[in-house]
Amino acid sequence: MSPMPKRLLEVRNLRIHAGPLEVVREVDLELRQGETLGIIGESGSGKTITSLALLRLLPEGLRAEADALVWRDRDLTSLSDRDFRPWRGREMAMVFQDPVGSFNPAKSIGWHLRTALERRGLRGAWKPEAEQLLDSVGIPNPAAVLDRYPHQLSGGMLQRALIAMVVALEPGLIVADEPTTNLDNIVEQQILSLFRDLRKRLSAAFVFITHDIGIAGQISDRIAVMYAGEIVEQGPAAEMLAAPRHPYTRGLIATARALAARADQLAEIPGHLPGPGQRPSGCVFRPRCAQARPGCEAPQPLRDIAPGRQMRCLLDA
Amino acid sequence: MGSTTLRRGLRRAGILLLTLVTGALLVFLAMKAAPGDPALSALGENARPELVAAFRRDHGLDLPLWQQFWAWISGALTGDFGRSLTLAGGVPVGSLIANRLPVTAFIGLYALLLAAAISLVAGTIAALQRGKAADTALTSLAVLGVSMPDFWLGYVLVFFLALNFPIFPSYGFVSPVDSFTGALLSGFLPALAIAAPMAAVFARVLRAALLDVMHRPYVQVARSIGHSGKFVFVHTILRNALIPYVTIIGLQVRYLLGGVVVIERVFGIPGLGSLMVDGAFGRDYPVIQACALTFLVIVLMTNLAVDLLCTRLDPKARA
Ligand SMILES: Nc1ncnc2c1ncn2[C@@H]1O[C@H](COP(=O)(O)OP(=O)(O)O)[C@@H](O)[C@H]1O
Ligand SMILES: [Mg+2]
Repeated sequence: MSPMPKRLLEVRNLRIHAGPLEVVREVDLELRQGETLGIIGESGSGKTITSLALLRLLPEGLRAEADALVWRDRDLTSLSDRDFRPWRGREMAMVFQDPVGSFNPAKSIGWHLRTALERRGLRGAWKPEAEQLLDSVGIPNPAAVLDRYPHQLSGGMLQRALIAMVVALEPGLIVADEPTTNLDNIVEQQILSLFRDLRKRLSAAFVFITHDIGIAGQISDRIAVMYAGEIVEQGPAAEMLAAPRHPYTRGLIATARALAARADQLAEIPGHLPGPGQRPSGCVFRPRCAQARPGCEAPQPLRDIAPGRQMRCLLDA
Repeated sequence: MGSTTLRRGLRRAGILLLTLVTGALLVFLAMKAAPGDPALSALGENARPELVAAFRRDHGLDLPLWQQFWAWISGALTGDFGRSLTLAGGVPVGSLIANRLPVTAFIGLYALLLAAAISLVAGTIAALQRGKAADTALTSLAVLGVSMPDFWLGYVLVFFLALNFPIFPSYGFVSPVDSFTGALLSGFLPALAIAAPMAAVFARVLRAALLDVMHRPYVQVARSIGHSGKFVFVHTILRNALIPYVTIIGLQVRYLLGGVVVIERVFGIPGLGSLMVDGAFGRDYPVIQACALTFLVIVLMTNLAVDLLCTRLDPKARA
């Protein structure tokens, strides 16, 4: 086996509060250079705000704290927002869910790429590199597209252009928050293969957020499953898909398989995600869990269950 | 793309021309429909009938209406607006307009720039400090500003500022043609009186627009790239909020002219507004018509300028 790549990011005990409510709790993440971490979970499970917290981009009303947020051997928790700003973009960048809304409608695509390149430190002629970047993400006729305005391009083209902007910054980590959710199927497949291509081409690490466990499996080295603001299971992608251990992960995979097989009987997990403030005590999945048993009403820590694999459930304890 | 731009331009020019002709016709007909006989008001109620008839012949008042309109409009195109009926020795109205227009244009533009400057600062502070003391204070000021009639504000300003700061004269106006600094100082209070209520409206619109844009996803994207707060504000937030802001300024320009007419009276400024009011009192219809037509042209030109600016600001409007 090749030597383990260097650790890029380590998050310990990240929690996010909305006023008195704890909407994300006890999130531990680790990312090595060049690695892709897939984060999956139902809508509302806290994937977006967890990734926004990494870049300190949480909207008003949400507050994040962590025991440690180590980036390349430096703990960023002590950094003021002002001192953190240069980290954004250059070290960590993000591709958002809504490509159409992601672009400044008053500015051309060329402006977006130029300002991103300038942010990286490029001075002088920017067009050749901008064109090359657009070309590398599969945008035909890049020179003409530089003069286009966001409203003149399709969602798929805009998502490619946004990815080109992020690539232009040459960040160490690229967070992609459901980058294909708002796109139709064919375009989704194209963007996914673009991401696979980027993974090979760039040295950056990726966090790829999706609610589709199949996509996460295709694209990730490791997968973290989030439920109601907690990570309930994480580990190597192949192992997780082949042998899910947490009842919630198992449910997700069963549902995905049933959907893929167009089964009449959808193996859906009964019940629904508790809203913030309705989180049960103890194991948060307990009310929906077919295997709930005495002991589940106690809070469950994230336990190591195998090398590189953790789970928040007493089944394997 | 070039041909659509051309077609748009032609269409806009056509609409402009049509508005101008219709407006001119309305001005003309309104004058004709106004009570009072211009000959009698020029010569006196008891003038001899043959004098009245001669007056009518001289001024073409005996011709059919459409011929009178044609004579007026074709003269106006060459700068000939006829002669005043009341002012010393029948001065050519064209030269009156030419003398008064720079004064009114100066005051109007001054007021507009003041309103823009005040509202840019106030609107930005209110939006950035939303819900805090500065926002509340500015909001109360704005409500006051909107509800104050401008002539009233004019008097208040004269009393408080002119008496305390003699640098701003309370009456009398130095034409910008004679001294630009003199015009800036003597025009400050009247321009401020016109600007204050407009600034209140502009600031509210800007505040709302800024708050709307601030929560758009592309602002978050700009931050995620690591651009500085100033860069994000100027190029992303303010830049997009300017579109509704400039649009509302364009819509308010006609009220600006109403303000100019009143304020010129209050401060004794010899502009188009006072000329028109004097003309109205003297039933001096060539003067009134010429002033009204000039105001119409000013409004249409400003609207065109604002339109073009909006098109520049908003790529979607360019298409
Ligand atoms: N601005 C906010 N203020 C308060 N709560 C929020 C805010 N944004 C999101 N939340 C809460 O955080 C939880 C997680 O949201 P989110 O991260 O968007 O979920 P996901 O991306 O997994 O769909 C949601 O339950 C939502 O109620
Ligand atoms: Mg989300």
